Amino acid sequence: MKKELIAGTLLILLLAASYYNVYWLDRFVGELEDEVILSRACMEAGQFTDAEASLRRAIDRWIAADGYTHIFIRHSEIDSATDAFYDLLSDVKARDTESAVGSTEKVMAHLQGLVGMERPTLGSIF
Amino acid sequence: MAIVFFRTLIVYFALVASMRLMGKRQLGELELPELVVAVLIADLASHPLQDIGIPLLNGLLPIIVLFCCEVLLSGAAMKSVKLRSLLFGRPCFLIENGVINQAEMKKNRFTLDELTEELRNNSIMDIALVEYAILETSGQVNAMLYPESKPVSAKDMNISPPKNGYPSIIINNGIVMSHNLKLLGRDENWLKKELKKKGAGSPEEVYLLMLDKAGNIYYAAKEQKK
Repeated sequence: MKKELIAGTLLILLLAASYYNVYWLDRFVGELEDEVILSRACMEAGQFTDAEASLRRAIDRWIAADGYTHIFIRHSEIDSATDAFYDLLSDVKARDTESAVGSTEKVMAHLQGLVGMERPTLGSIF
Repeated sequence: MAIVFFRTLIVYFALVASMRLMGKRQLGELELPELVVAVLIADLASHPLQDIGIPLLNGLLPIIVLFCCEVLLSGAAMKSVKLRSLLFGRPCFLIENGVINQAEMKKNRFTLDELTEELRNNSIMDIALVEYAILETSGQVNAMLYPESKPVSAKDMNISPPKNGYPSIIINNGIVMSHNLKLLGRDENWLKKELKKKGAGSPEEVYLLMLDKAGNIYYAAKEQKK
């Protein structure tokens, strides 16, 4: 009975940890998205230095979370998101507003994809 | 390279630990849910080993979940007969009162060749001698012969052979099993004397030495190196 109790508890803990992981990732991605949105707003207002600073903060946070991302997220997805961030940074630095709009969408799509892959829904399960 | 090395070590120990914790049943004849777990675990573990782009957790987490499910299901099956028969099925008679149960044979997709092969595995060459043949839930067939065909036992012959007890290993490839020696009420001095009688100078010269409660010894010396 002791073994079954441990197994049951472990299963519940793992389920809770999985949901906490989704919650944490959602919050983390939300913070990154806020910085990206701020960067886009600054760029649209012509404040390119602020746009770059905001984007840098997002990239630094993304890179700093390396310990988490490499354990929980497929490495190909991490690489794609990192590439998307640097593509956007390159557009911001070049002050190419038109191209930056597309790159921003790409970053947002990648970030949303990360949460979407972890969130248990009928679609993601099946 | 180093990543694959460390991942392999981690997965190996995780697999050994989970199979060990699931119990010895996993090692022998597998019941249906156990077979499912064994097949799944082997496949799940191999993916993160081959592809270092997949987080190791993606391989370890399913192993832990499967382990928990297996422990819970086998624990529940121990308590509930209904669940046990639902999960593992029920043994069935392939031969009953000497008659082959063709309906059961068909239901279990069991051919006559397989039946005779299984009987041969039980050292039965003539199907006519079998009174009952039972297909166990593990897929193994056990057979019971007609009373007149059963081997004669000591009880049938009204004799009572001496009880020798279970023979224990005292020396295993040169290593003395002190615990077994103590259990049989012997000590190192007794062992030295016995080895001397057998012509061995030390336990290192012995490949196998077994002893039962009646004091019967089985002795095999180590082969000399060429």
